[in-house]
Amino acid sequence: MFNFSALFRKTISISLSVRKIILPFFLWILAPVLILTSAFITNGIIIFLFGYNPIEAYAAAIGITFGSVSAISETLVKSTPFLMTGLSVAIAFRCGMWNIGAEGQFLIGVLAATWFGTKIAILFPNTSWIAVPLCLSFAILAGGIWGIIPAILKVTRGVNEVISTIMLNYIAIHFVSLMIDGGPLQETSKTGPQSDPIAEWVFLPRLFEAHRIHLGTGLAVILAIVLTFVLFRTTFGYQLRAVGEGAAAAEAAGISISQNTLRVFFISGALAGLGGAIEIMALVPHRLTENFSPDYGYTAIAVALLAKLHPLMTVATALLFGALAKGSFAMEAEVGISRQVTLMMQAIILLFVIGASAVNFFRKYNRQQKL
Amino acid sequence: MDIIAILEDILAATIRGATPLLLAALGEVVAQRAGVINIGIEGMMLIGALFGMVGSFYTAGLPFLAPWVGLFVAGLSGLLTAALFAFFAIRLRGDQVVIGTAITLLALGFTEVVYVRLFGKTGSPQSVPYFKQFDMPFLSQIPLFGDALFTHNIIVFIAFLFVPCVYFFLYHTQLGLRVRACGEHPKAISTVGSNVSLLRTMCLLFAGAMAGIGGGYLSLADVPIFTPGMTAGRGFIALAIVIFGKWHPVKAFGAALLFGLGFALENRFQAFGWDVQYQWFLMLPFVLCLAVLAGFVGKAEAPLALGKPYDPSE
Repeated sequence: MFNFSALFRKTISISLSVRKIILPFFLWILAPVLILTSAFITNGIIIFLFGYNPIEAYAAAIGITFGSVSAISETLVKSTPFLMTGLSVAIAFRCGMWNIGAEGQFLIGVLAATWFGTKIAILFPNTSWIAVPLCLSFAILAGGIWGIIPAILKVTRGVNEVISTIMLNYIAIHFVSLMIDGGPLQETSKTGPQSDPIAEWVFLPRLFEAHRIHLGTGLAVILAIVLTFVLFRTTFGYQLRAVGEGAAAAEAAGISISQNTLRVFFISGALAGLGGAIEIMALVPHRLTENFSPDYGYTAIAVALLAKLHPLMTVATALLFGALAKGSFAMEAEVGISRQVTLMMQAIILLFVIGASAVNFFRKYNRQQKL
Repeated sequence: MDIIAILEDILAATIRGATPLLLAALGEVVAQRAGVINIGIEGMMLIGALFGMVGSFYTAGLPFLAPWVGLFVAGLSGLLTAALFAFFAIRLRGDQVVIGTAITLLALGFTEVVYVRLFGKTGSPQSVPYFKQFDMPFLSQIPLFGDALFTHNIIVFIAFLFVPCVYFFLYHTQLGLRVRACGEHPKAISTVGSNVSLLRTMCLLFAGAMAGIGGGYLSLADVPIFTPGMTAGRGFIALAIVIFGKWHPVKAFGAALLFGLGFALENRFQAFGWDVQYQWFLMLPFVLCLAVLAGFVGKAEAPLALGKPYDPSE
């Protein structure tokens, strides 16, 4: 006779393992997938309402982003600035610092690299072993200093960092324009608002001869790993997270809030600045132009939040946003949608991430980030 | 130009520059007093600027009515954007800084896509009726600064009228008291029977509508033009005005005039043709903003519950 009670017990044990193992796994993988799918569908509907064909648009985007080896290499190249700025934002947000200033810090990094590459590197020709690391450090320093300004204002004057970082973004944008449009960094022929190309021995080398993927991409991924280690396996990282979780409690435990604020803003700015330097040192035309950054710094917020502020996950989300940015070119060229549709898309993803945190099903996924 | 003419010119430009900032900042004062920090003003202004022009463009057959339709549509589109904000910030209780940033990104993308779809890649439509300057009878005849103070388009005067209105609402009505209580101690006001979520939503919608109208001013007053990203940080400056104005409508009015002066000088200095790069002047309002925040804020006087989502079940 069939043993019902055994079957019953077996069902219970399966359902237990479903709850304990499969469901959490399912949430980790499926939650972001569901968020993204809904965001893509919503965006598709908007595209449709504008009178374009969303399927055609998406197909064009996918073809150009993952259609071939060189397409994938290009997508990785496009993802690099998103990864660098995403890491910058992730580490600041982890510490509870709303650094909206990655845009400005990125640009100041580019500016420093341009200055070094066009003015200083000339002094010691054909020495890439020294020029490249020096140029990178220069950008790191410049980005870090630009990043620490809002921290100083916050610590000493109590200025809200959201507003000061946004103001510094605008100042950086106009400052870059000042330098390359009539300023000392404008190209020697003075024809257009752009700098001279940086010296050849400051270029970042490619990883493979045939593809544009470069050392900077590798550097960014290594940095993501290092940051993960720092954040979760060192005292410093622990302090950062403690301040982010609850400043008052951290202070009661003897962790200096002002010191961590200054540190995290420097690191955050340095990462964004380095990201800027990588862009100009690795990619043709190696010149600083106007609109050098298509809002990398703002997109970075979506990149970091979708990754739950985890440096390793940021690699994946940066790849997604790189693909989005690249795909939008195809959508513009083949379907005629304005390239700015990506900004909309990013915002929708961001809103879905926030929305998901309020839905019970996603609670577990979102437990870490209190959005 | 003699000195009086220059001063008059700068004064008039200050008032024109301050108007959109003032409109957005007044809405934001109310929202922040209710405890909601709306970083999305920049996006709401941008959407208002686009739809203000669109509204006027499609009713151009009625030249007297069209700008008003545009202004109404601008306010409405700002209000709808704020409704989206409210859904995420109040219904779903998400983080307001992130939602605000998302709204601004959304608006940047959305306005450009709509704009390209409607008008193509090149230029604004030519035939958009807009608000023209007119002389206030008698007042503009006042010697010295009468002309600078009273020769403007109608929205300027409306914006100025809003200052006492918002002040009266916040400090001399029962509803205003409740709004302020929402920002200071939502639990207390909830205990005595007010609906915190509803009040905050209403204040947000008001802020959105005001930001939309502020944006509409940019595209409908004096010169009818829309360019993608044309708000150029004015929404964020409105945010700074609220802080500098210590969350008070009258003080915010003063702060708006200061930043209006910043924008006015930006234009005037460029017109003077000095041998200085123009970008310095573009930076001016933002540097001014930072300096003002660093120099004057000092003691925090923000509403206590500002930026904290309210959970009625707690």
